[in-house]
Amino acid sequence: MSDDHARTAPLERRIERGGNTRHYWADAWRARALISHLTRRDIVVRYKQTVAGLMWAFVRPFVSMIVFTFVFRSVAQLDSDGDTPYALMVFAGLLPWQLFAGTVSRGASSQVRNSSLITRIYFPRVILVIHEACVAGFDFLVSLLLLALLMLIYAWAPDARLLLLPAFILLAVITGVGLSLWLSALNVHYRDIAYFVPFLLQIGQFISPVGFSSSVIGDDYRLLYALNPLVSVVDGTRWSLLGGQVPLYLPGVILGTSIALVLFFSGLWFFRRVESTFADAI
Amino acid sequence: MGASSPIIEVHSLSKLYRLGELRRRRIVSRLARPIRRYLGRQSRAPRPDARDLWALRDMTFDVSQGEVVGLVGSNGAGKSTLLKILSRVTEPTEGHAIVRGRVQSLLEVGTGFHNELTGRENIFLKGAIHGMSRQDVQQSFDAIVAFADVERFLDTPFKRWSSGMRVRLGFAVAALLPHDILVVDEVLAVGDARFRRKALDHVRQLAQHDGTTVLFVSHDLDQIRAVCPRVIQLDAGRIVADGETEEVLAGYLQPDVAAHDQVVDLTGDLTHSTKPFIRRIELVVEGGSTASLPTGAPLTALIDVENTTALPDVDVYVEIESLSGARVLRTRASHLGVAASQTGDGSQRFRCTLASLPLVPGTYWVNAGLTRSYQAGDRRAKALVEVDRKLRLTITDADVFGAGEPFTERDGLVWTPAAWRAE
Repeated sequence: MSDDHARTAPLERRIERGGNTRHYWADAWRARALISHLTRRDIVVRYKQTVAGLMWAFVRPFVSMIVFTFVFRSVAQLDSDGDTPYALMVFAGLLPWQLFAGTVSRGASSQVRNSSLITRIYFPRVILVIHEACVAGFDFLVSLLLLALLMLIYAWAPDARLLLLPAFILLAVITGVGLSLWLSALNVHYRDIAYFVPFLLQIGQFISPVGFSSSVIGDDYRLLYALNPLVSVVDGTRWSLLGGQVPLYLPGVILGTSIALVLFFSGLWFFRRVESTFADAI
Repeated sequence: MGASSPIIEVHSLSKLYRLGELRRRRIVSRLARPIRRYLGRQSRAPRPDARDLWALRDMTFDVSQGEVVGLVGSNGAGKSTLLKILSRVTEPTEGHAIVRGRVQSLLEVGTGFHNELTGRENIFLKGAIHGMSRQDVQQSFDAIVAFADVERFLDTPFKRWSSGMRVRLGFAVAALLPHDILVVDEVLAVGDARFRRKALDHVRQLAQHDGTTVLFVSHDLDQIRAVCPRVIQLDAGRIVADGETEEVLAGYLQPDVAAHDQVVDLTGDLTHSTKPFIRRIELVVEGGSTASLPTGAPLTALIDVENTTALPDVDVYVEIESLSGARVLRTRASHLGVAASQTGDGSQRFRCTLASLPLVPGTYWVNAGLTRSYQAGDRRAKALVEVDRKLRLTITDADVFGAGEPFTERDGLVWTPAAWRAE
């Protein structure tokens, strides 16, 4: 690493106010290995010193599936669309919601929880938000396996619309990351965010069509309802996985996607502008 | 990279910290700042405030490749802030720095380790946090493990590791991963003595053989002496001295209070005391009036004591203390069978002559004091009066052996007459 290294790495950096933003995405790309390391860390750590280990990753979504199916079907007497089994409908809605909620609840606290890193070593902080989305993504993949199992049990085969599933999942991620960027940056200065996020997610779950079909919303209000990007996420996931009689409400999807993109890019903009204060304020 | 351009250039770097509780209005205005800036309504420079603190103020210096530079200064002088800026953790408020090379910073050894992960997992994680690829870490892995001496615990969760092992691994990961510049903040204050030595040797070796540039913060001045040929002294965010280690450290240890060079008169404080006290101390230097002497010169101290008859067993001592607080030597009157007179008016002058000062060049304190005499069974004599750090003595380089070569502070801790003959 001596002479030849010095020659091969003529990295020259100007350090000044606002200097870290100059090579931001190059730095982020260079630090991309950190995303997988932190993701691995957070997943591995969760199941350390447990006997069941990774089994727990399956138990949690399984239990919540059982509860949802039982409560909404037997107690609340809600119906699904047409002949789609209620359990499938709920689970297909729950999955993208949990991906979104996991990203937001982890992402919003991502900076504060890693304050010891932020105050002592530099890397683009956006990496911390992205890696939280990756952890939520891991949980999502596990749940997706369970859903596949459930569909097998119900003998419910998806059709070609399945190919559009990744688009709706991406929409869930973009919405979640966008919101996380706003909330995590605010949380560094304003710890109130930590108390606000659980409420936000709880209310969000009730107003998003997770436990019911959005067909219960009257036609007059559908566009208004679609202001919530999660409506498009959940509806779209159900539509691509399960089909059913309800066609996709396209104006709603376009509106929801636009909102998600605005949230994402404004979040990125805001995050990057206050990022340099994190180490001093956290 | 041109061979002549310094690897680190710091140009009038300043850092402003806003102190005090965050007030609601300020938070709102801060968060709104990017929006206002976007709209062009606010200048970029923050407005000054009474509760602001300049942690760094207008700091300028260069570091050449391969230099090992020590940073000293009291708490809050700005050492850590400087290192944080150079590591890009925090941004300067004004000024800029140019860094030509990969910086590896070790601001705290435990950073990036996770308690639940094993040693092996932690090495890769910390490597990634320090910006290293998996291959980089893989290449250095064995060297890191060997250096930290933790082979046996590689697959043990970190939470079961001793704190010493964690420190060793933390240092080893940062120091052994490839880099051009190593930034070390006070991390070698912990860990056992043997490892500290090994780490210091490694730092020295990095600079000498690999051309690594090192910035080194430590409160342990012996560590600084051991590895840094150059020291920068900071105070209240500014550079107050920058130069050769011994010179800067001598200035650094010099307290602000005016010290006396030859005579200290203490009469004012104690005239009506009925206990024994020292009225005056004078250093007598043969053929000179200031207390600046070459190594090996004689020194006489005159100590005027009052009320010696108030107690039956008063003893007088003279001692020489180094600026870092070590007692170099002490001589007591009773060692030589001299005791205070029990008759007369109690005023007495003691003359203490050191025939040949065995001191290496540098600055020292000459202290004097009164104690009760040793009684059989005492561990130490009871102190009555201590006149500490009032008289300063400067020892200069001298050709003590008469061979044309001076004896300097690099030649050891003490000087002694010596004879050499080739046979």
